[in-house]
Amino acid sequence: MMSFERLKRRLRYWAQRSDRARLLREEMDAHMALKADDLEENGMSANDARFEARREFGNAARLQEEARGTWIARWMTDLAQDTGYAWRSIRKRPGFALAPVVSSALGIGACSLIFGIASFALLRPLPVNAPSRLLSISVQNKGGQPGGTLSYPDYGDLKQMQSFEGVTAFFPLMPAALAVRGGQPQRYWGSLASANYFDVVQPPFLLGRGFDASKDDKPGEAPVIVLSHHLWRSRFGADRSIVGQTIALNHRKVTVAGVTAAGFRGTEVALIADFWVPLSLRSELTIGGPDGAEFVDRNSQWLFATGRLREGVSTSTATSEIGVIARRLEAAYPASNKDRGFYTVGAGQIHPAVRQGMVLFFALLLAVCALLLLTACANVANLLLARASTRHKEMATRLAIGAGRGRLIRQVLTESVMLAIAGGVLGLLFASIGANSLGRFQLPFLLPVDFTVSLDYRVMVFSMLLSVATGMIFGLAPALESTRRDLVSGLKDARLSVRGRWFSLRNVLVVSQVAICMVLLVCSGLFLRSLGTRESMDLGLKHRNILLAGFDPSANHDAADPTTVLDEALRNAVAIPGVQSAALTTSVPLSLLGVQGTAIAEERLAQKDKEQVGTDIYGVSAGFFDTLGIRMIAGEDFRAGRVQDDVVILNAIAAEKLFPKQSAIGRRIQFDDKRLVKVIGIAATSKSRTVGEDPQAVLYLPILRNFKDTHPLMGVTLMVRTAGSPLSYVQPVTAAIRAADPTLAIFDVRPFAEHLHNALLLPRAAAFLLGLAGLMGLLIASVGIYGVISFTVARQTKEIGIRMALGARRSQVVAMVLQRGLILTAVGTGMGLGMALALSRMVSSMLYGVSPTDPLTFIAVPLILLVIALTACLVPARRAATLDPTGTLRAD
Amino acid sequence: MGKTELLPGTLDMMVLRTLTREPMHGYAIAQWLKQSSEDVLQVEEGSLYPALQRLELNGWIDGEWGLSANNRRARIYTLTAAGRKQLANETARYRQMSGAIARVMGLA
Repeated sequence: MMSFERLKRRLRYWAQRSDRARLLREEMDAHMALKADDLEENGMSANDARFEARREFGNAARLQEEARGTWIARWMTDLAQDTGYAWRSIRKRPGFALAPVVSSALGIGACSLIFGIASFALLRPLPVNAPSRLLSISVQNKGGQPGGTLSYPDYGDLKQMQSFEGVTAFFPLMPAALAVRGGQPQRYWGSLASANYFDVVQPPFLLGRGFDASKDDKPGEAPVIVLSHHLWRSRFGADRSIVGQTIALNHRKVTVAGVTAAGFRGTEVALIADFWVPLSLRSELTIGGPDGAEFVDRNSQWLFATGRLREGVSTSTATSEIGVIARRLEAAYPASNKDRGFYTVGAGQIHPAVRQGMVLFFALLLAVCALLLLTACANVANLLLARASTRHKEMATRLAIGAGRGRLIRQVLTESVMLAIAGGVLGLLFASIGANSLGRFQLPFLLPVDFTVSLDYRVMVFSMLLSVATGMIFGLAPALESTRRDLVSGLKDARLSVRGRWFSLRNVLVVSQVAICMVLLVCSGLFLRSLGTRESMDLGLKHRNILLAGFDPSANHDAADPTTVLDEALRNAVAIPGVQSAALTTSVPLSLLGVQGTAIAEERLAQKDKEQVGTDIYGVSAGFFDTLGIRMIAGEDFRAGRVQDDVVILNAIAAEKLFPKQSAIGRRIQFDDKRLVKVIGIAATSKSRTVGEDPQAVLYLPILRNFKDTHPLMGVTLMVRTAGSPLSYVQPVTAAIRAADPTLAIFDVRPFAEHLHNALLLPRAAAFLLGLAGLMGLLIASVGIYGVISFTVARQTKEIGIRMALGARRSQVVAMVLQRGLILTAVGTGMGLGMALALSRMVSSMLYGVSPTDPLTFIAVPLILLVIALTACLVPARRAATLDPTGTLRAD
Repeated sequence: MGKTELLPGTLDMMVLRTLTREPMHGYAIAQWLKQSSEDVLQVEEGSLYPALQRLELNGWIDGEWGLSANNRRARIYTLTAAGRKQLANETARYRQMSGAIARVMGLA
């Protein structure tokens, strides 16, 4: 209580410190004046009286300082002074600050970004009421993978549990076309959710409310929709009167019930929802017809579930209750529920097994970045040490006039911490740029995935603490060095012993930096070269002048119907003037993923050992091979229009695997344990999923006959080969689809070339990241070389002075300094080349069209490195050459 | 220097004691200390001021600007209630201490 009052007073005094200091001085003056008055009255002369008063008062300046010290903690004024001093000293040579600031910015930025991503992925709670009570419930079969989905009947049983206030089930991967007041429909991803969803999850609402748990689940109730804040802003112009209005979702009219508050986009990690509609609308919004098996069959597992624990109930209680239910279901429904178990994870969190791996992964990344930062610190320390020896005169003077060594150390440290904080601010900027570009990261297939990472206050605190630590680390050695009391003799000894020590920590550090930088640059160079050759890459298809447009006919129509729309859309597209050919497909090649299926030759069905061949399954229309420029090896393409027969086209690999050394034409195969289909054609093998894959077996089924069998979750893509730029056909192609059904959303309209660009994601990301790391390494290594050479020059000042006094020319001095830098760089480059050669063989599977020993890369990169290293050495070399020989000799 | 060194901490106590008589300015306090100790305790006058700042920070005295007897502007210090309590504590402690010292020295 007392001390709190004191603290308050202290702060108040501190705030008024200059006023108080002035008043204290006045008070002391008044004291001396009163004393002088008294002395004068006793007969002293005015002058003597003043002098005597002053003498008896003591050292006024010191006493003032002491008095001030009672209300201002000493360190506060010191800090203010040091900061001012550091600022002036940085201002005097701003160029010098560049290297420390940029180096620490790179290190701190990298660390902050990794920390930011980790804290976002692992630490962020869901933006809902009491998120810790929310558990997501998933299926894990005995010995199986975690993360399985639930069947509707199983959900019904889990709902009865006592541990939970409520359990909700939802399907988070529902695409739907959304039209606003006569505008063109667009596709968004949302969730189908049970009516109690919002009562269980309890996200904050901006407008309106969630579903009415007592009403909205029953078929026939007024259909409602809840919008995410993001969708409301981007699509509805943040219209506050939206609640109660009717909008079109696919071909259904739904009423807007509410808008969730910003930040809430579902409970799943990285999977985002933009709207929520009740489960009761399922049959009307998606393919599958009237409510069928999905709501009664325990084998039909398609739901995610989240439960809210009752207050005071622990997770372990809930887990054991779930275990009881699982065993009861196992006993009651052995056919479906044998070995089926359930487990819970905090909602919005990653499965513990995966989480552990991620923690390890991030820890590793962070360690790498910390190493980078430490290296940067070592370089900057070298640089500051070089400077410290040029500054010793100033320090010696300050020590001589009585400055405390501790105080001087603190002052030098303040300067380096300030540099590091400037670096930290710049680093945060780097990190946020990195986080932003991560958010723009595009997958070559459509899933509602969001990689946006926001850097929150945790990251700010982290990077500021890191900055202070960084400044302390790289500033400590220079601070100690520059304030040594026996400075002169110490330096003299060091100067004589500096030569011949090639294996000093300093040199080893620089050599390894150059080597690592070399490896990174060579690898990124190889990836870049590989990307450059993709034009000539043999994909087995011609990707130029093709326009792709996605749409999802299953959204609006029953199982049988979509084909009418497909047929009509294709017919319209072919009729567009300038279109050379057009086709439909359920999968676009090179999407990184595809539909996995199996196939077996008819004659093997009878065999005991029925060995299935794994294939990718495409549903395509006639014209697919023409449009993509895939050659037919044998047989023929599908006939245009509706195919009535059960036929199939294989690619060469599939034919070879299914019918080794025989002709496949006319034979029959069974796919996915379904129907028998007759092979009518064999197409040349082209790349199916990724550019780097081994030749993959592919089954092409006629889309108009087998629409449901081809699992078109991603919708259908219309591919059009155009004369001239595909982008000029966007208008007519979308019109062709609209003419078939105006309520369909058309999405992802792009040229095949752009799609391919996204498909090269892995090599592109690798080249980018390696290149970035290489550039950072280059910067840091050049600071390292610069620092070491500067340090050496500073230490050799006297030697250089003697040489010059004895007649050495300036060019000889420059050569001497450069030679040292060159030797260091050459050793590092040589080691780096060796490592790069070994490593590039390991990544050769990711390189296309370029040899892992690509001569251009292996010559250009070392040359660039040498030039940069030379430039870094040139500055201290020139400084050495312009030394005044007499001055250096006289210096100590 | 012919001055008797003060025991640490005793200056604060004596300033508090002095102010029980009446509010005074710094110079008057110094004068009073000198006179009442019959010139034995000669405090370096300026060292009074750090002590005054300390006492004020602790809330034991209050300083107000006013006029001295001969019309000079001076800061006049008043003892606060907290200061009175502190003085009582200090006095008790001092009495204990000096008694103990006296007994050790065989003076009591």
